[in-house]
Amino acid sequence: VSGDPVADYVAELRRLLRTSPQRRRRIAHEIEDHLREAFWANESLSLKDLQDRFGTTEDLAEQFNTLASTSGKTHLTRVAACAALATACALVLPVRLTRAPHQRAQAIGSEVMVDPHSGAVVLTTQPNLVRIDPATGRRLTAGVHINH
Amino acid sequence: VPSHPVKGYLDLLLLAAITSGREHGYAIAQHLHLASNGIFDLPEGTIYPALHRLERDGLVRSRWSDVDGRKRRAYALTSAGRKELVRRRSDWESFESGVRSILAAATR
Repeated sequence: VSGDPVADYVAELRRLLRTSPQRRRRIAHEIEDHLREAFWANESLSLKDLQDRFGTTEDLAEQFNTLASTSGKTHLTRVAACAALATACALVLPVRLTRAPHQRAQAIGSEVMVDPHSGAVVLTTQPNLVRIDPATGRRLTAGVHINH
Repeated sequence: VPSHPVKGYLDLLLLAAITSGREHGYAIAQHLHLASNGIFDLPEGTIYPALHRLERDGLVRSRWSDVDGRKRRAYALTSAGRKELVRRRSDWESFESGVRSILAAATR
């Protein structure tokens, strides 16, 4: 016990938090800043005054710990989803890249253009190029569908 | 049922307080208390886990700012947060309208 109720409150909260050191520092800083502002002129401040107005350290720590626990699960889910996506790309992309240029354009998307004369795939919109509709596999020019 | 009646609407109230220009936790807590004429008397510490959750969910973002030489965490709504505020306000207005209609039809 330091004799400073705000410092004691924050120290107790830090002790109860089960989260990363970085987040613990941030939480402690925010809470201390709030308490110093709320009670700056109160010379007879007690720990009970703090708990009445701000909540107990146990309640507050529990809310942060629950949040950290659910955030961890969300993070793991995202990592798993990214890993699954990367695996799918690793399996599918090599197959796609072995196809002809116009088929590659379909695979990549409608923003990719194909030169109808050379068959080269380009990434810019130019008037002499033909758009490949990825949904139908048809070449599009001047609003007219051409069988591919 | 939330343990405190305000808790079910805390996210809406926090988003609204931030969008009305309150950036820091203390100012947000004061706003909730004063603008509600003291009706919302949640323990002030409750707003911080809620703010952190809103940030985790991408509805607010925060940064350290320097105010009179003190480092403070400032919150702002993201575009997703602004959309969420509109949605939650609409939900609240529908809910309030329904309750008012039922109460108006009730005899005292």
